Amino acid sequence: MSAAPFVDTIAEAYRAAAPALPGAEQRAVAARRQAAMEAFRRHGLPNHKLESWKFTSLSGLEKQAWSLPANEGGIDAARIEAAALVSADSYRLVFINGRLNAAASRLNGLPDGATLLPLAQAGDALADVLAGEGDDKAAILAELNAALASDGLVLRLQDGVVLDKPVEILAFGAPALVNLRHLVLLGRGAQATIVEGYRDSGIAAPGWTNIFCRIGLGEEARLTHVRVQAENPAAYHAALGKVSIGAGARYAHVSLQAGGNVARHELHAEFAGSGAEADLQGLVLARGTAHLDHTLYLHHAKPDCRSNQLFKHVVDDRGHAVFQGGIRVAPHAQKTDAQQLSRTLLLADRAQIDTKPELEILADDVKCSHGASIGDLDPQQVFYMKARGIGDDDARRLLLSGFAYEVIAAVPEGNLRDKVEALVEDWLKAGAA
Amino acid sequence: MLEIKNLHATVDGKEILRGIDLVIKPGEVHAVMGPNGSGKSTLSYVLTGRDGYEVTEGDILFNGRSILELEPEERAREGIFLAFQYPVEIPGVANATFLRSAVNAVRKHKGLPDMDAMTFLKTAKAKMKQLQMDEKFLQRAVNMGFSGGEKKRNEVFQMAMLEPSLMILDETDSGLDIDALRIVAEGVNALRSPERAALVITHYQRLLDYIVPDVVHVLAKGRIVKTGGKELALELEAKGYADIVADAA
Repeated sequence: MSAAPFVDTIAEAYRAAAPALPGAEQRAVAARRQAAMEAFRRHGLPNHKLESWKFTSLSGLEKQAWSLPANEGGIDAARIEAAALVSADSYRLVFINGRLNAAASRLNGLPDGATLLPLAQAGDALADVLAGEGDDKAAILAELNAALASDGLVLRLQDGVVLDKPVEILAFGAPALVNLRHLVLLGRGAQATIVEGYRDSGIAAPGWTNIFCRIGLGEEARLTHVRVQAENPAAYHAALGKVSIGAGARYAHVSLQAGGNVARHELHAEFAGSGAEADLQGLVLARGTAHLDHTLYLHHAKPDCRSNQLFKHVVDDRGHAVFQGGIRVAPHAQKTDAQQLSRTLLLADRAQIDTKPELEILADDVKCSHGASIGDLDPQQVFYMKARGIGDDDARRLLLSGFAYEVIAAVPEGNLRDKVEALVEDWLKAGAA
Repeated sequence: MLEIKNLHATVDGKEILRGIDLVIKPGEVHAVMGPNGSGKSTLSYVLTGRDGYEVTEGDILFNGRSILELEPEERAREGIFLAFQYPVEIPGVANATFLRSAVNAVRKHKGLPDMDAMTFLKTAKAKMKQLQMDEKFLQRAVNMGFSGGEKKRNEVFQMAMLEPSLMILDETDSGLDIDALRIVAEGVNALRSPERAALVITHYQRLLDYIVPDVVHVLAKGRIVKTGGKELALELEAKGYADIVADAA
């Protein structure tokens, strides 16, 4: 099938959905959405001809016609609670079929100086929230998202505001094209923890979740951002995040990908001021024919910033993991400290990893390193466990959870970490069955 | 308890053990001494069923039954414990998690219910106290960042928790200072009982001052060349291995 009919089906889906999309009554918003749709229509899906899309193909999407979810849908309350990653003590936005489910969400009790809204209620701010990423084919899914975004999170903290509880976004996939768009802006010295969970709705039909997230951290701000993609094994999931980190600010990101058919989490982070820090950690658990991709671009645009990337992959069956870790150090960004490590366990003959560091270092007084290891479980460790009476399956599972733990340990302690750990354990146990 | 009959074993196709005969009865402590390369560690790995160690002739009977076809974990559950010469580091797995899995695997084999977390913790802490180990070692990853002495103490701690019937100590004295050696030896001695046997593999006599053996064997070139009482260890210490090995040849 050629690309043209596919983009036409998307354009048709847009025409059908546009009157009901948030902000349809605002001329600027409607114009922005229209322009974004045109851009997508011109470019189509990103493909392997683009360097950044060399290892991950979305062409499977072209095999079916897509529409936006027809209605608000509904999910059993017990399923929602089971999928939640943070306990009752949180702010929460639950999205089903790309729309806020108010009954399951909790937005009340915010401290002064904090704004937390679903995107559909962003009103006059919508045009800003939908602002574009430019006419770039590699990031064209962000334009598609701008055209079709039906909801999302808008969080703004004024200077010095420390959010007392984590904010959880809990989104369930749908057998349709779902676009959520998030905006997180932290003022000077503000602090927050956000958790994004993309979960299986229990409907096995393939869905396509397309996420765009913009994060801006003011000077000295602190953001902990945990992201969990555990959609159903038929799902397509593509996410692009753009993060700007102000002087002296700290961005800590942990990404777990343990579901989906083809899933990609792409993150572009830029230091906008000196003395800032970014810790980016990820864990991929791929089995069956899952294809799971982390693509990072970290731009050290300012001096005296520190970044650390640690990405681990456990790949079984015919799974395929991708890690692309780009680091650019600008000519004047002296005293940059940028570390990157990718580690992979391939548990089956046909399991695959493509791991690609991409370092462009234009300053001369920097500390940069990158490394990648690929292997199977260490037979000495397996024997040591067996010599203590632990059976082969249990030994392997313990060693795999030990491998994963380094990333899990980057999740803030408490029920969130326990939930993430349980999710990883469940995945490991499912493999032993 | 343990009966080794004309045991021949190869590693990478090379014959290391060339016909070992050894009988250990319940309650006995046997020492196997020998120069480097005599096959001491190979013997410990063959007994525990490590991959790559192939028995080409002979048999190993444990409680009257051949264990050659048993996997390492099955041998461990039957009551064979090897305290490793080089304990393996396992990042990300807490000592407590590891050990509780092991304890419960052994209990399951014996038809006992799982040891619950509370009982496990209580038992573990009591045993650690005996070995003068800090409780924090329970939460640390297995052997990660442990000193040489701490690793050996951790081996004896695991042994105390698993209560094997045959304790194999492979060069447990290596890397230990005299104080650590005493603590480790006391830990092993506390486990000595009429039902439990030990095979102490060591290069030096030193350890045998603390863990006094009933029988001492000298291993050279894959064979037991001399067997005697505990005084044989002292003789070796005084004269070295050269004479005995030469006499045997």
